[in-house]
Amino acid sequence: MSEDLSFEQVVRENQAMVFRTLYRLTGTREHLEDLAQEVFLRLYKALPNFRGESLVTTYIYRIAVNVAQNEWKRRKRSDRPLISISEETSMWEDRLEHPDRNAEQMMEQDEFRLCVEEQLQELSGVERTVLILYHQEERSYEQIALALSMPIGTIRTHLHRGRKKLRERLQVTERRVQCEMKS
Amino acid sequence: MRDEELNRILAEDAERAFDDRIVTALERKPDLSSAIPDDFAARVAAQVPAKRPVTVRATSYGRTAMWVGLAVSMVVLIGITVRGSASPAVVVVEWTLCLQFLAFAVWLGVRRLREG
Repeated sequence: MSEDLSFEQVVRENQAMVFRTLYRLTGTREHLEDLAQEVFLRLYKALPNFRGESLVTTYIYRIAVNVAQNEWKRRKRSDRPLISISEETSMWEDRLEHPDRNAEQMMEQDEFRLCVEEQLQELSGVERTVLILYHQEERSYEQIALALSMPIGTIRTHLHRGRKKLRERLQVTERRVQCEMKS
Repeated sequence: MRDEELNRILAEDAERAFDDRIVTALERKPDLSSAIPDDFAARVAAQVPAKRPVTVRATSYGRTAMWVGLAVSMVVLIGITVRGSASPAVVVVEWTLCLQFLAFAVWLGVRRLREG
């Protein structure tokens, strides 16, 4: 990767992945473009030290996680409330994409998905990151371990713990919704 | 007993189905194509600092040092020859300086040949 042209290609090939990872890690579309830009500029600066021992994508995940962590810290400092993903996402857009599906079923799925997104933000940073990299990005334990500089066993533990916490919280939410519907 | 077994199986099935729903929700990649500007990659690449052209200026410190060495050894050699001392120490110094003078001359000659 010695020329600017190839760097532009790297950005183009990985931009969707960086945007969606940052979106789920930070839980908002706010500043997404700035954060993605920071990821790629950091990548460019780090490229001379990149020895090709791992995939560029693993390297990008590592940078994206660091950038998201900085964003969490910045938010904590400024004490800004998180904007919920559910407030920003238009469910109509999704439903219009699949007009043939049962509308009620679609709505239920969307609501559940939004619940998952919200509860995901309640998990610890590392649990959320591991869940996103494993399920959304379909990375292997080895790749996640490389990206987060952690042993594979620790990744497995975080994944298991994160899933358990998520399930428990979602069950509580479901029960609450059912109670509200009954009353 | 049968009811208990049935309830347990149903509970397990429900839990498995619930886990599947969570995994499906997690695996669904958010569509952010509208959030990515068309020219994003070009803009990022434009922000990258331009590479500075590498300039190399030829120096001739080595050659100058060789010319100086050649001149100094020649002056000392002439000085020793004019004094005409026959002591063995002076002869050794004289031969050493002679060899040094030759080395300088060969080095400069080879260099000049290489440069054409």
